[in-house]
Amino acid sequence: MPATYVSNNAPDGGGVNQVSKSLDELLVERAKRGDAEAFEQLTGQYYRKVYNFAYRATGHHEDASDVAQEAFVRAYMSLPEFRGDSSFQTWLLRITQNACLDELRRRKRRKVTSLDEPMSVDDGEMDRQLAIADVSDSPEQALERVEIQRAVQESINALDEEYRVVVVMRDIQGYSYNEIADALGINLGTVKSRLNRARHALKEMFGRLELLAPRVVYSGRRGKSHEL
Amino acid sequence: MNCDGVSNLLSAYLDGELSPGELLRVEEHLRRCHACADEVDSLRQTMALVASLEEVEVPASFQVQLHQRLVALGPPAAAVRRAPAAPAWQRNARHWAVPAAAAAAALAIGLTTYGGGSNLPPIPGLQSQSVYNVPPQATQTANNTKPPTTELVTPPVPGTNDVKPSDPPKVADTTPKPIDTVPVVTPGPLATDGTKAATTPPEKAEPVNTAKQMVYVYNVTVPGPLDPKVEERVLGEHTNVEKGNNTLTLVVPAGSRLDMLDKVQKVYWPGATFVDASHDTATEINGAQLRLEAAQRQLEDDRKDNMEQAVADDQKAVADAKAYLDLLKWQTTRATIVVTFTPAP
Repeated sequence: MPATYVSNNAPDGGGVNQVSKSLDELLVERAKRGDAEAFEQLTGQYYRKVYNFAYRATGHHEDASDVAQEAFVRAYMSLPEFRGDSSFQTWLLRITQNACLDELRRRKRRKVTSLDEPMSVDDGEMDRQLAIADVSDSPEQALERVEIQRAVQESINALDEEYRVVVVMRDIQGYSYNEIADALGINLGTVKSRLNRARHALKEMFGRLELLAPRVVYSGRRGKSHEL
Repeated sequence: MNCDGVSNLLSAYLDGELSPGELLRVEEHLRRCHACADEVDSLRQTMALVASLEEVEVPASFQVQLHQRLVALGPPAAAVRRAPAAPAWQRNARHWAVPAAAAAAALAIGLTTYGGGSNLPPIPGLQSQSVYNVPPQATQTANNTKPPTTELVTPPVPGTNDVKPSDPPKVADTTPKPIDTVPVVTPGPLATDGTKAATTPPEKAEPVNTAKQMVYVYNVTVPGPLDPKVEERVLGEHTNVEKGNNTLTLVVPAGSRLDMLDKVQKVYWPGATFVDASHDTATEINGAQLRLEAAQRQLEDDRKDNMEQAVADDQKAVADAKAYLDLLKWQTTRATIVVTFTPAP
């Protein structure tokens, strides 16, 4: 850890007044004063997470890039409002969700005339995934894996934005219910209910796409409690 | 509990987010109801499928584009609103990335001491910043380099990233004269229409000053490692101190530099030796002055020609050139003392 202290000798001659700060706090302070590089150093660790969130929520690299950039620009511009009440990550997450929801709603309005068109996912990304597919996969396996990913992403795309966002946050990015509630400004009950609906909707779609394996029940293992 | 009542809880059940009472009821129901148990299994598979989506790489262009946007934005709006006392150059100056070693060292001093002359506290310690943490050796080397006499130091202007270190400044294209023969020019007021430059009150640029304008740098060497007690004392007695790897950098007003050196050698670290690496920055300041004037001329020309896009770029160039000039001038009001310790074996 590099030096992380500020020697703050009070102008009134108050003697030693050493303030310890974390590197993040120092970076926040610098960025607040317009140091873009400090801001980039501060947020660089979140590029991947924010970008992936945006990609899974929008389904396209181009939109993901727009959303993620918008999120970081908003964060930068509203940094002076960041008071440290929540962690920086939580705060950034909230801004990212808002940027993402705004973009999804904007897209929805824009595409209102073409609702019947199937939402497709980024072909380029699929090609890329094929190219880097696990070498132990046979070509058929690789193709199947990529096709499954495509189908899953298209199903997520088919969800309304409110549901899409919670399912990406929870099942892809692993945020807790509390973090999701905090980021979206909704209560825990709403998180539960949206997640429940989103997963049931996805389950229906996956079922139709034959992505779900039937459950094999071994009656002997289920024992006496198995009443049916 | 019937199936309808349970179905809505299954998702939270799989996340372990049910209350103890709910959990009991759901588990009781699942033991009896085959259909809901199937439902749980399907939901579990659904979650696994979603979770199986692979992470994508952030495109290489992302960071570059973001950087360009952030730099173009200038400081966060609210920060400007709340800190009107901070002059424009302070807010803009940190966007500079100066390639030339001498300029890099000079800027490092500026960044290190940033805030020292205002009501803003100093912020030390960005180890990975390229120009921020110039190691003492680099500083010394740079400072020992004689300032160029006929070359202008030309930092790239933010927003015009295609300006390479080797690119001559525009002014040099048309006026390839030695600096000290360039006539004194008093440029007009800065741009005043809707750009950052507009927030800076119009002011006359000062005449080119041919007198020495020193940036004071002293490289002090202390045998042995840094004594924590002395460190504590120094930190207690001085505001602008930055700790590096085996170094302490103190920044003081230029006027008190000799007293400070005396203190360093007699009080803090008796027996320490130092090398005076101060240098005259008049050439750089003249260069920055000329660059500002060139940018202003360019702005006027493009205005006359109604080149809207170019005008916006020009205004930014003027603001940046002004910021750099101010930074250089400000550096001459400070002295930097870099104390280097021999690391413990």
